[in-house]
Amino acid sequence: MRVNPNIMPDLLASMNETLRQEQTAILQLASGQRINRPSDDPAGAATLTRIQDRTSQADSFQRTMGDVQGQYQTADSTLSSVVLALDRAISLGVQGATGTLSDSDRAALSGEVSGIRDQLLSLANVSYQGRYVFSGTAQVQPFVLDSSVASGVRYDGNAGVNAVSIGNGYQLQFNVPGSQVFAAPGADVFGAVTGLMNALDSNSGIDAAVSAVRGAFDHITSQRVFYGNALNQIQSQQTYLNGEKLQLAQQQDTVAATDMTATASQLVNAENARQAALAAIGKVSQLSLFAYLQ
Amino acid sequence: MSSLFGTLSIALSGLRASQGELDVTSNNVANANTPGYSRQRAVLVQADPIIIGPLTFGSGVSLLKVESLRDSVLEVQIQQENQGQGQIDAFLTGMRQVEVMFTSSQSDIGAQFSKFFASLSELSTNPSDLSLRQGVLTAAGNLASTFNNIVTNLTLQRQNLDLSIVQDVQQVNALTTQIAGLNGQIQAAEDLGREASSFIDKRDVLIEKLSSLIDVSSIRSDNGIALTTSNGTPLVDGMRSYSLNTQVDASGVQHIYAENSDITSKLSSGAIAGVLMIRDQKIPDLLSDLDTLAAGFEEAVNAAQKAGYDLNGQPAGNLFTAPPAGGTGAAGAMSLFTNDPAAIAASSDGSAGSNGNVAGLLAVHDQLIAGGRTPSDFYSKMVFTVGNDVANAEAEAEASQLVLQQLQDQRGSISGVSLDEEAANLIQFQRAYEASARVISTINDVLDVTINLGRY
Repeated sequence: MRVNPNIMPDLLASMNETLRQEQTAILQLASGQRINRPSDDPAGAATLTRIQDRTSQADSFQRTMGDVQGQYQTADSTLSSVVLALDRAISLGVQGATGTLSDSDRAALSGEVSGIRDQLLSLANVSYQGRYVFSGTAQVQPFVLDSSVASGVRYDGNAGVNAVSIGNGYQLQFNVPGSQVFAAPGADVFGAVTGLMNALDSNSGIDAAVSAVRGAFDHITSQRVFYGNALNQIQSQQTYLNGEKLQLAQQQDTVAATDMTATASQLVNAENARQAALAAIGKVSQLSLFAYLQ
Repeated sequence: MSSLFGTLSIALSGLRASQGELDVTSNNVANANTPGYSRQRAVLVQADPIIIGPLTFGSGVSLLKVESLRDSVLEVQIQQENQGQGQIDAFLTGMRQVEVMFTSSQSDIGAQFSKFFASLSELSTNPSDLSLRQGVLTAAGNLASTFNNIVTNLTLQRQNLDLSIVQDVQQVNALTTQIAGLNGQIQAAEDLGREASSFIDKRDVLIEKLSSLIDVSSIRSDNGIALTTSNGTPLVDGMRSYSLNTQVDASGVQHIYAENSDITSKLSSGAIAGVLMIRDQKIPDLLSDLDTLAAGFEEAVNAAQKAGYDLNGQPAGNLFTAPPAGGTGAAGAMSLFTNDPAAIAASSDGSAGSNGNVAGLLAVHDQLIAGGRTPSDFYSKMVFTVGNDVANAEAEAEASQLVLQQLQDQRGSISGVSLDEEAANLIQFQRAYEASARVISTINDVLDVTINLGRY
């Protein structure tokens, strides 16, 4: 059987092929990615876009949680100051209820309680990153001194509640409106403190006023539970999302990352094959019967 | 009984035959690397014998003809494989450019979707912040311009492919004209009883080139070769060639006509068919998918917008310009309806600090907006489609390349010039020539004896 005497095209074609393999391997090693174009692995490339989308979503959730956490911590530490202030007001009230005090002593106590009210007012108007923490969804200073209302302090915020997504279908309450925290029916903080002030001034009903302040104290303490719970929720969701991101990163690696050892050995193979092809071409061009005819 | 002069003429015929063989060998060596050249062989036959009484004497050798070694069935197979190869190569070249637009990057459509939703997520913690609102607008604007850019690039590529069809058709016409000319030369040579193999070789090369452009089937007829497309449109018939022409149709793309009939959709292989496949199917499909995705997304976001209130407490309007009815052209025309960051409908109750409607906007991420898929899923399906088209074409191209290589090897084993073989032949023919010359000089000596026979 006669064979094709011109083997150069075959040799060149196989050299072309090994060169292509070599370049693919080099690209995969350099980029660390097995999928550099969709056609490298169509299903993998499609999966990759979905993984990247979910990773970006998890990043967003985590960023949101970071922001929410700051807000919660501000609110929580504010409420802890409120508790201290109310505690002080209670002991002032108890002091005032002692029958041995003179009018001027009670006036001094009342002045101190008035200072506590001012402190509470500034605590209730606390803001985080430029927005009031206890204004509901309204963008105004929530608590304003107003002698025309019974409690002495007017609430200008609303009862709106915002929620943020911190997971797929996982909504977290973002704020507690000031009306619920400081002006709850039966546990109105400013009403109780103003009542204590008036009781000290008039020296009547001090015990009742003190017990109203105790009621407010208990209410605020119970409100703090919300923030504690929410912070716990954030912590566990952070842990969950970290795990999910790790899983996504692993999936992405499985789908798209270059298998370094395998690719490196492919590169070596391709290089060897090309060297062999080059050697063959060199050899073929030397071999000819003409060379032996003198 | 023969004569000495008869013997001399036998030796002379050997000399001539050997010289002819040396001629053929020399031509083979000279054309060893000529594309399309089929090796030739001198065909020798015994000269008619001379019969004298009961004796039969040979009268030497004669060079009957010089024949080319080729397999015409193999040629046809190569032409067919060439058509497939031409089609898949043209398809692959075009689709690789399309693929670039769907390659994962920081700015592909998938990434822009993610960035849009990330900006909304950020807005949810501080819904009245103007810089966060501007962030949402910017992300939406980037998404729209990414859609616009891809549509522009695909359209531009479609125009380039259109141009290449005109060029390919011109090339087809040039080739068919040359083939018809060669048909004439072959016929003329054969009419005179001459060997036309060099013309046939040239014609085979041209048909091979033609077959990589367009689907060709060849029919051998009395007047040379007739070429038609596989659906029967004549390209060459004997010495006549039929040119194709191109005309722009109502939709603005080139169509191919043969004798006033539109054969565009009937071309099934060759580079032209590969280009047509991208121009008329792949790119329009992608554009229509992009339109579906863009329109579905715009409508979903606009609907979510309208459920809420803007920063000024007014019922919110569209975020994106409403897509055209039916969605056609939505991706190319995708744009923001407003440049006012206050227009984003974060609030669900009209108060500036409410973020209740951001969740509604974010929900578009998981909403089935087009073809029963979410935006990200729909896009990833497109990535798969493009990648799959290219990957399949690559596999096909590789397989077709292998088959073609095998066929060409087979052709080479029949028609290729082997220099070793020619070298061996050269020695053989040289020796034969030398032997014939030796015979002549021997006869000469014998004649010399004969002429001087009476002198002594």
